[in-house]
Amino acid sequence: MLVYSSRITKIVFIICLVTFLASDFILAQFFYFGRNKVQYEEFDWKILRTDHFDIYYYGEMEHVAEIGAGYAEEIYAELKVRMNHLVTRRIPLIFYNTTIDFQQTNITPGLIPEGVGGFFEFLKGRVVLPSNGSLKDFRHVIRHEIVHVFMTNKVYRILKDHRIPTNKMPPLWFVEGLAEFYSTEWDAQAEMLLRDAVLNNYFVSLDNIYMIYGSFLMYKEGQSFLEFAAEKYGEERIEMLIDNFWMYSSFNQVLETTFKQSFEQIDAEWNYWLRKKYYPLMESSYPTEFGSLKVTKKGFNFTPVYFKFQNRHFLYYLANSDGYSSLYRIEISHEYLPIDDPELVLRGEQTEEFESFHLFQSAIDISKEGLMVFNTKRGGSDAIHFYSVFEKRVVKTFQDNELVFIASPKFSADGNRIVFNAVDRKGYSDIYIYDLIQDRLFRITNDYYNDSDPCFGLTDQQVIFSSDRSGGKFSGKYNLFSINLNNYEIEYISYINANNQAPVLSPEKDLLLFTSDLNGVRNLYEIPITDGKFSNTVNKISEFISSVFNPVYIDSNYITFSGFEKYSFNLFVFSRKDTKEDSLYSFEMKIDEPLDVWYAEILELPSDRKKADYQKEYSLDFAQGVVATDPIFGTRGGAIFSLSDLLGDDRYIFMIYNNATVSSEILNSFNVILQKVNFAGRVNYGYGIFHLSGPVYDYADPDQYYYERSFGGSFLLSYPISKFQRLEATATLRNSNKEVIPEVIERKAILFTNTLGWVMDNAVWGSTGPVDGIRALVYLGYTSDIKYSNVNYFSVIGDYRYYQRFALTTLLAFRAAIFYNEGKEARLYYVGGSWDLRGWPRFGIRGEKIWLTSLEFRFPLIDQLGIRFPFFNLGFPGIRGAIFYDMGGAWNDEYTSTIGSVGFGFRFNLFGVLTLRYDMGKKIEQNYTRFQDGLFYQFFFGWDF
Amino acid sequence: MGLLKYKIFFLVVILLISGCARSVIKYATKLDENPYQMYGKIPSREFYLPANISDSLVLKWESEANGSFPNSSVSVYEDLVFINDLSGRIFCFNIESGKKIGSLKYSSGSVYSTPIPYRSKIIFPVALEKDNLTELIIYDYAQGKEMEAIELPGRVLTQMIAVGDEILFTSEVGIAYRFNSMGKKIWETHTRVPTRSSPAFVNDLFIFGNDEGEIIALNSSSGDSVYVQNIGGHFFSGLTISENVIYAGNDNGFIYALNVEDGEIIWQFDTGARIKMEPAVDGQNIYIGNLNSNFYSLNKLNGNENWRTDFHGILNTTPLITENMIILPNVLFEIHLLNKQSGEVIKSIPLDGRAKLSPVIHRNILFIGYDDGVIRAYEFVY
Repeated sequence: MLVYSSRITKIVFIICLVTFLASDFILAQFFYFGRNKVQYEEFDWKILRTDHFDIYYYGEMEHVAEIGAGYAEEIYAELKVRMNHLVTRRIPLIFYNTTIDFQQTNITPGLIPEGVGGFFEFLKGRVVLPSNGSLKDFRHVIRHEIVHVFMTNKVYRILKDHRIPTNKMPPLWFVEGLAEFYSTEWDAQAEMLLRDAVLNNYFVSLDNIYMIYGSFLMYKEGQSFLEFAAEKYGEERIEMLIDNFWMYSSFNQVLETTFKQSFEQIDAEWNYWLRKKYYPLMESSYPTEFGSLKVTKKGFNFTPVYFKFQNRHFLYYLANSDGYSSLYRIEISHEYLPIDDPELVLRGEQTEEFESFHLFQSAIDISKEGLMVFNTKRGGSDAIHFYSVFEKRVVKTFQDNELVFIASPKFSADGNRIVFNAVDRKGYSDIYIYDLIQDRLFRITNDYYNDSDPCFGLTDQQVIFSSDRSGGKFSGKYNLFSINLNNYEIEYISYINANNQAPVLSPEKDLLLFTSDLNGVRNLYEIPITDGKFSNTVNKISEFISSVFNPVYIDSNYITFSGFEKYSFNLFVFSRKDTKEDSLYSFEMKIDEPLDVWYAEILELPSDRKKADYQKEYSLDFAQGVVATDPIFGTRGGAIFSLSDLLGDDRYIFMIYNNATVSSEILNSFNVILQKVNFAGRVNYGYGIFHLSGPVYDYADPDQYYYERSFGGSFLLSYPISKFQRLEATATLRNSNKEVIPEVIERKAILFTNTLGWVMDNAVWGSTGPVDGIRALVYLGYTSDIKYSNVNYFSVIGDYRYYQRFALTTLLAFRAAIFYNEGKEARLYYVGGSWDLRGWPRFGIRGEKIWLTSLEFRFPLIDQLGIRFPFFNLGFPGIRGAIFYDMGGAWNDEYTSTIGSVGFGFRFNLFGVLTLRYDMGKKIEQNYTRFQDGLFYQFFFGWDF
Repeated sequence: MGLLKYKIFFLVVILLISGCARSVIKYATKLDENPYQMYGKIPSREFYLPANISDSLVLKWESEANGSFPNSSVSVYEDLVFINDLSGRIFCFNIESGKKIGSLKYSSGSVYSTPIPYRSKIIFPVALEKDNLTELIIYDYAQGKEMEAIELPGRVLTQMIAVGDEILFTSEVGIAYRFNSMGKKIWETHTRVPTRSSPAFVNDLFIFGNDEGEIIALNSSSGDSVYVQNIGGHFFSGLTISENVIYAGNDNGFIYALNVEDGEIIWQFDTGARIKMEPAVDGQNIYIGNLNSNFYSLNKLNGNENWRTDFHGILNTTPLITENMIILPNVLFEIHLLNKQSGEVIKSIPLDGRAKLSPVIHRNILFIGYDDGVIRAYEFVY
């Protein structure tokens, strides 16, 4: 999220910029690229008020919101006892029906990746999260975020009680580990990750946990540590870690005081605890790559399907091996060994059509006729695409806006229908069938249970699926069910105390294959089918140390799946014939007893606390006062503050400062800006008024210093066509009085500026800048003095950047740009310096017209540099090198000379927020005919172009 | 501009002076034969006032300490009210006016225990911030002078007991101490188990619970162990002793009645949630609340439930029992007055923060305290 400049930030910035600079829009150095957060939906927010929460929901998701309200109150009651603490303010809890809607939230300005399950926002204490169709997950995320609320509130309160500055927090591994520890049980996913980390030696101890800062591994290691601490020292000590937080500035000392052991001893004992737990697995289980053939070698590879044509064997699958999730295929031999490198079939995350493939959340399928089906995010909801592997193109697309999130489509035997699960606008995850011939959609289930991974069953009138609707003693577990499409009767196929998923029938329909976390992680299991009936016997056919996902039969003897190993997901082929003896065992299920389903509890609320319409209430986002003194401008004071509503849709920005140097100037020297921006709809807009007055230092030729007083208003529109493209328009009207020489040369103007722009950005970023994709923009502008005709010029800006990758972090970057102003009192552009024409003085090349081009070869130099000091360690990841070539020219009326430079440099990202750059090379002058003497050396900061 | 400069200079000087203000309490008192000397008033800590009170209260005064309060209480000696806070300060107020007489500042730590006034001295432990140590301070407020600052291992997070001119207490690292008011250590006993449960005293027995669910009785004269009774759970709240029975609540939510002679369980009662407050006792019943805001009246003899009242919020501060009413602090910004016979809420006094201090009635004045060090004194109107 740090690497992409968000549209919100951009709009706020542009509005301020437009206001400040008005017609100076064409100072092109400040334009922005960046992907867009698109508000496809205009949400009709409602509020449900419980004892402790204000729950915001919209549309049809009232039922899920009521269930969520119950979960919120449940964890509140639990935490007040567990933590001996109360959060006395009302907690705003904002629900979205799916991740797709959640990604449109305005509560945080940044783009939200798909993997984010929810967040707690510190500024106004808001908790924001989506339902994903699984009430179990919904409950987990609600609990997780409310633990954050309690913990931060308690830490703040404790520090305040002791009169200690309240600006410190426990380390992130503890914050997230505690949220997991209090919100969920140790599950198969956590077990998979920790097993893999410990047995493959990438587990990081507390001493070095900064090395995995912010990663999912850090979350789970934090949870694991607290599980260990609760077991060894007692669960009551976990709460004491917060109670004792005031005592030390170092959290390691808090650990020592609470657990009465040295930090090194605590850390070592946790390490030992994990090794003791996981090392015996080497005896009883085996790594995935030893029990099967590994097909892919790098990246994150999921959901393989097998297809054979012209006696060639292929696996089609989804993967992310270069920063974009995409559709790939790999050719395999008759022995199912890879015989070629993976081949890109469809590139994802670069166009609106395939905005996201939902890696790890969905699966693909292929019919006997070579029609592949998969789903992608396309605009405000998911679409299902049908891709012909022979024609190599998408031949059909189906999209229904009521189905927001779609997953795992599977063909019927005749290939005329597909079955899939989808989350609708109520937040329910149910089973649907789409008939390709009739182009009709059928809803098969309709309830709040999470029905997933469907496939057609023994006949095309039966659907098999996984669901958490299990009742009885295994309530809430994911078991396998069948539904008869003639009468919609649902029957249990499995009933065990585990989560069983991804069912698929063998080609002969004599076995039902699925994954189950019965032994802690997901392994392969089969249920035999005899006489058209599912047996009560379950055969375990694998004993992998780590989890496997989305298995499918290649034929009756071979199974392909995605497996997690060494912190990566790869494709494997598993031979049922070679199944290791010790992994085979069977057991019988008892599913004849009467089994019901479970029912979600709904919080009973009086009707006056339900369904209140959301009324915007504004509160302060930030406020800052500034008093500045400098030798030229003297002392000036001012303040800036911003207000927004609870959902972040409307934002007001107010700035005031005064730069008077004597009291008689006070009234004339007020600088005031008032802006409103609105992000609620697809079209984002902003408007405002301003009064600016005071001395201005202007980059001109030569530089000018003059007094200017201007006032007026501005209006801005931004229309995101998709996540990757947008249109922008601005209009500014301002009265400008400029005194170049006081009371001698005065320029009066009423300036009206219009601009229209198109921006595109689908680049993916590395540590120091973009590494793949395209960024481009075109702006057209016209500025005129509508009263005195003192100013009158038009502007064109074009900028194109292309990144061609050769390896994961090795690439060639190309840039071509033109900045063109023509007319009366046209402003100057300026280039030069580390960001464009390297070697030349920063902003030293000026002209009404400028062109420039750059070619840069970027490559990794040092992947990780670690320095160990006696008392602390420093790690510097990713020092990169660049060889560059720049060329450009600036002129006003007649073209003068082409200049440029060649050289090489180093880039280094500091703490993920600042890129430092050091370049050296030779400048080229005199129409690119002569190298200047000597070398230039430049040190600066900033991302690569 | 010149005037502004002077104003800024004056302000800075005032700030400097106040920041470096001398930490002092200097006040001469007469001998008080009936002080409110410690948390729970008496060494066995009954939290009981054998008198009827009115439900009509008038705010007499309100004053402020610096940091917030732990779950302690005021102590009163003659016309002085003493209170400790978590920013390492002891404050002294006039009982009638609430005017601050003075304060002592130990900014490198926190004071968890109610200061014990004894004649012209106050005795209190400062749990240090960066080291796992306590400084036991003996301060002579008649002279305005610190007499002793004795460094002890482990932080003292529990309440002290005054017996005559001696004090007994435990530290968090499991060491029990007996000192006299001159700062002389009489004995110390190492139990080696962390202790966060405030002790009680009766019949020459110094009794406390610990983190491992044990009840430990020491001979108060020698510090020798009399018995160790393993009850279970963790004792994070203190003990109360009445008529040779120990009452203690643990982290599993059980309230126990134990024989004071050997620590054997007489009866137990499950309240359903963690207990952080000390049981309060009167002639017939005990009263206990838990973190789930359930408040119980139980028969002292057999643990049978008389009544139960459920609140919102958290009950983690020991109430005060009177003849007719119970004064119960609630974290949810309230003090409740309950009918002792039925548990019915007669009245709730709203506060601006979490109730923190165990209520004390002394000389017909009710003292309560809540967040951010606010202390209030109420008078009863009859």
